[in-house]
Amino acid sequence: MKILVVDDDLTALSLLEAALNLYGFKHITLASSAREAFYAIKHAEQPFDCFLLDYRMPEVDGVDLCARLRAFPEYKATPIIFVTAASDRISVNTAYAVGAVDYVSKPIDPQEIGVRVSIAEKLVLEERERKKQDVPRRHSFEAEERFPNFTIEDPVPIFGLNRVISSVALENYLESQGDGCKNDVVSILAINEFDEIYRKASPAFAYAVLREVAKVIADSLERTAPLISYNGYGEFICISKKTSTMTSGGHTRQINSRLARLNMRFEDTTPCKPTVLIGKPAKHSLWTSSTPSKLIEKALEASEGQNSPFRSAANSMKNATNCSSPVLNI
Amino acid sequence: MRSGPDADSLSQFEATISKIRISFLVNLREHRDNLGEMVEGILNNQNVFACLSQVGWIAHKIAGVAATMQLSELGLIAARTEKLVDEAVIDTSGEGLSTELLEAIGALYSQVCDACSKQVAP
Repeated sequence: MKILVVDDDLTALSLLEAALNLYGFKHITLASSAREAFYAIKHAEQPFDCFLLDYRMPEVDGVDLCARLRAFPEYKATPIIFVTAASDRISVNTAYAVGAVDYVSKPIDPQEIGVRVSIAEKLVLEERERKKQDVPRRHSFEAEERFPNFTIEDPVPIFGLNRVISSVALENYLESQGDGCKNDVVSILAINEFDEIYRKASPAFAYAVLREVAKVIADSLERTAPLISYNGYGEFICISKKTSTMTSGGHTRQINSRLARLNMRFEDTTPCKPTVLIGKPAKHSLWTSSTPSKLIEKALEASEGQNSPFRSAANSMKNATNCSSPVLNI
Repeated sequence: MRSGPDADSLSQFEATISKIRISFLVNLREHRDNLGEMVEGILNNQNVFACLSQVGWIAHKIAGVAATMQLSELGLIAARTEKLVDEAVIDTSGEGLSTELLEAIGALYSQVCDACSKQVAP
């Protein structure tokens, strides 16, 4: 696995290299600034498979670098791990919002680095395998269209949108927060009658709808610093700050009014008017402590009880209850 | 998941860490000298904001690696100083630097001096 490590501190760079070597990772490139990182990317014969970034760096910091990396089509799904001393909630949230898949706090613990990068390697290998299997299916469709071939229940990743993250990143975020997620609220947002849209449209169009809805949700909830992950069945898991002043009814109206303004149309030009319903949010209670995975479970459970479309809940519940350590559940 | 490191890799790792430690201690001496200047600047009320930012930066550098270099106490005080500097930099109350912050900077400087004097570095 080819890894690019970026840190302005030369001691930290050497330590990370030693830790990675210890765990058998030998193809490592070191960069002490974003400028050096871009030089290495430009001149690499093969693309990098994983990035380790420091958060605080002069000129271009880790967050900016991460966002720029995500703008490269070949790096939209590459694991980016922050290794940093900045461990406050805002820093962690911001890192995930721009595309981090994991976040490791300094001081550098070689074993932790080895474990986290091994998990990232597993993701890379799975992605390679998925791409291999996807090739014949893609060829049967229009090859030039860039969208993942997915079924309605697939929690297909949505790339390139600020604050919209993969399910693995979401789990890692919650895990990294531990007790710090006391200020978080988890909600499930469902596109009403998404199966109708999925049935009527091509997968490319259905995926475009998911992207548009995800973007509208992220924009509408911006004040609550949300992290949003697609969960299949047209449903999103959203983690946001508890201190929001707007009610979920207010958010629903705002999201749906923005969606209505998009004026989307199916390929046959008939109008496509997706609307979103927000499930009952799950919060930490004063009397019982909830682990991060329990909080997602609570939100899914609360949504499952409602009449409307929350259908990814049953599937996810099975996964969530089987998983005591979400960070390893990939 | 990859298997854990074998004995050879571990001894190689330890040899590498020893080399990194030596270079860290050389850098620490530079940090000590810079910190000394910054502490003087803060005490004499000269470019306090710039001095504080520099102290925060040095503390940040030390906090990230000191514990791995078997200097856990230094790492802890560096992390605390960094946090307090960050809070002071965004503080707009105009009340000046807190005693807690000044004490933390003093403790950091003293820990750095201590580490430099005790550790053998070329």
